[in-house]
Amino acid sequence: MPKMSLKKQLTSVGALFLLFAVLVVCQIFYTHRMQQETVSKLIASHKLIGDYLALEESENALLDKLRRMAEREGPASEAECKTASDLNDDWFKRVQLWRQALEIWQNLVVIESNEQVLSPDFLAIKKRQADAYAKAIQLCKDGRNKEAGHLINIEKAFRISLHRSILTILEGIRQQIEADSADLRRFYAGSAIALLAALLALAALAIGVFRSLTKSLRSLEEGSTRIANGDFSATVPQVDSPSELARLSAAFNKMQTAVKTRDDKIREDNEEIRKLNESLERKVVERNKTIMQQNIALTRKNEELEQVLYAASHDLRTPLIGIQGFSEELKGACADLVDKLKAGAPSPDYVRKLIDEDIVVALKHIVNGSKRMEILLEGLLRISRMGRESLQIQETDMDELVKNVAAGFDYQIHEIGASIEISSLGTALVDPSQFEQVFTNLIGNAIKYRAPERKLSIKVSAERNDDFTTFRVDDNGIGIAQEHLDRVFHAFFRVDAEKVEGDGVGLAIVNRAIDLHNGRAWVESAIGSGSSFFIEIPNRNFIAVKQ
Amino acid sequence: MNQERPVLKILIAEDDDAAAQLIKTNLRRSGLEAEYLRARNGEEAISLLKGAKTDAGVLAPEDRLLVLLDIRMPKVDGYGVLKAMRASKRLGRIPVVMLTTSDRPEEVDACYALGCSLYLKKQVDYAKFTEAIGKLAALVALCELPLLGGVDDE
Repeated sequence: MPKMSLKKQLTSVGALFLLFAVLVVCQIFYTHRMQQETVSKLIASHKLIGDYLALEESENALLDKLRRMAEREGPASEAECKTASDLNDDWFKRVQLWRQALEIWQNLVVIESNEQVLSPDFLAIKKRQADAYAKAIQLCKDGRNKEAGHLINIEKAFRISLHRSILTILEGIRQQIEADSADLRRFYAGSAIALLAALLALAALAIGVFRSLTKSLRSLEEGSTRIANGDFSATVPQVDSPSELARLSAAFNKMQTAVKTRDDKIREDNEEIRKLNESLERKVVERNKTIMQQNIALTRKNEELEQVLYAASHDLRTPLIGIQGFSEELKGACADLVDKLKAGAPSPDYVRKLIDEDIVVALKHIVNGSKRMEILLEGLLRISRMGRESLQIQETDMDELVKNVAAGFDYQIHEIGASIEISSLGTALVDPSQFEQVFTNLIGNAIKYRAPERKLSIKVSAERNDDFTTFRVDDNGIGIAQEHLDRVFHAFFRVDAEKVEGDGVGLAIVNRAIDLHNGRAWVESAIGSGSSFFIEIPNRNFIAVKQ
Repeated sequence: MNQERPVLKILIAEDDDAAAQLIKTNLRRSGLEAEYLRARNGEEAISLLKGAKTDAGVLAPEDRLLVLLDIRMPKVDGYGVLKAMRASKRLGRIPVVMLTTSDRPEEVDACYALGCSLYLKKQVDYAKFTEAIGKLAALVALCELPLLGGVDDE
C-alpha cells in the first residue's frame, strides 16, 4: 500500500465502487438500447412484409377483377372500369409508399447479401405494370377483352421475381439479427471482463486496506499491551500506512518515550527515595546512638548528682546531730543548774564543772557544727554554681592562665619552700574562668596534701595529639591510696578529714568543669610518692552542653 | 566482785567528735557500766581491735567488747572495719552495732550481709537519738557479751 491516509484509501475504494456501479448501470442501459433497436428493426421488417403481402393481395384482387372483366363478353361498364382504375391507382400509390418504406428499412438494416433486395428499376417495373393494368382496363372498356386477358397473363409472370426479393429481405433480417446478437455477445463478454476486473481491483484494494489496517492495529495493540503489562521499553514498529495510523504509531512511540522517561524518572526518584530513606535510617541510628550516649552521660550525671545529694545530706546531718544534741544537753544542764539554784547554793565544784566542761564543750561542738555546715553549704553552692554557669569557650593562652593561678599561691609556695614548674602549654579552647578554678583547685590540693618530709615540687605540662589536649599536674605529695582513686572526684569525699582543712568539693568542681568541656579527668597516684592529675579536652568539634 | 568480773568495753568508731561525745554521754547516762574507747577513723579502730595501744587506750583479751561503727569515716570506712572483723576468727564473734546517719535500704542490707549485729540510725532529733541509745544500752545490759579472747589469730 502506498503511503496514503485511511480516508484516501477508503475514498478510493468507494470511488472505485461507484465507478463500478456506474459501469453496470451503463451496461444495462446500453444493452436495453441495443435490444430495443433490434426489436424496432424486427417490427419494421414485420410491417414491411405485412404491407408487401397486403400489396400482393390488392394486386391479386385487381388482377381477379381485371380477369373477370376480360373473360366477360362485351366491354366493361363505365362504373366497373372506374372502380378497377381506382384500385389500380391506389395499388400503385401504395407500392410507391412501400418502396419508400423499404429504402428506409434498408438504411436501418445492414444486409450483407450479394443479391439486391429490389432491382433498381423496381418502381419503373411497377409503373409499367400499373400502366399495363390501366391499359387492360381501357381495353376492357373498349371491349377488347382478348387483348386485355393476354396483357394480364403477361403481367402475372413478373410477380414471381418479387417473391425472391421478399426472401432476400428475410435473409437480410436474419443476418441483421445474427449480427445484432453477436454484437450483444461481444458486448456482454467485454463488459463482463471489465466488471470482473473492476470487482477484482475493488476487492484487492479493500483487502489491501483492511490488511494493512489490521496489521498496523495489531502492532499497535501488541505494543500497548506490552506497555500495559509494565514493559515500558516496548515500542511499536513505525507503521507506514495509513497515514493516520502512521501518525498514531509515531504518537504512540512518542508516548512510550514519554512514559519510559517518566518511568525511568520514577525509578530514579524511587532510588533517590530509597537512598534518602537509607541515609535517614542511618541518621536515625546515629541519632539513636548519640541519644544513647547522651542517656549514658545523663545517667552518669544523675548518679553523680545522687552521690552529691546523698553525701551532702549525710554530711549535713552529721553536724546537725552535734548541734541539736549539744543544744539539748546545754538546755538540760541549764535546767539542772536552775533546779540546783532554787534548792539553795550549788556546790562550787558542780558549778565549775558545769561552766568549765559541760557548757564550754557543748558550745564548742555547736559552733564547730555550724561552721562545718557553713563550709558544706558553701561547697554545695559552688558545685551548683558550676552547673548553672554557661560556658564562655574561647581560644585561651594556657601558659598565661596557669601562671596567673600559680601567682596566687606565691606566698604559700615561698613559705613552704616549694617549687612549681610550668612547661609550654600552648592555647586551648576552654572557658578561662572555669579553667582558672580547675588549676587553682589542683595546685591548691598539691600544696594541701604535700608530704611534710620532702620539699614539694609541682609540675604542670601539656600533651597534644590530633584530637585531644591533655594537661597534667604532677606532685610529690603523700599520694592517694588505690582504693580511693575512683572516689576522689566525688563531692564531699575526703581521704583524711582531720589533718587537712577543706570542703570536699574541690575535685568534684574540677570534674564538673571538665565534664562541661566534654573532657575527662582522672588521677594516677601511689601512696608516699605523689599524684598525677590528668585533664583531657577535645581540640575541636566542641559542643557546649547547656546544663 | 567487780574486779573478778571482766570489764565491758565499748569501742566507738566515729569521726565526728560531737556525735562520739553524745553517744558516750547517753550510754553513760543509761547506767551502763563500761569503759569507752573512741576511734577517729576505721584505721584506728582496726589497729585497736588488733590489740594495739593508741591514744584512745588498749583492748585486753579479758575484756568483753561491743563495737559501735559509723559508716562514713576517713581512711577506712565502716564497711572496711566490719569486713576485717568478720574475716578474723577472734573478732568474728564480737557484736557490731552500726550507728550511722543514713538508713538507705541498700546500706542497711549491705551491713547485715557483712554480718553486723544491729543497725541503728543516728537521729538528728535529740529525743529520738537518746531513746535509741537508751534502748541499745538496755539491750547490752541484758546480754552476756563474749570475751575478746587471746592474741589475734591472723
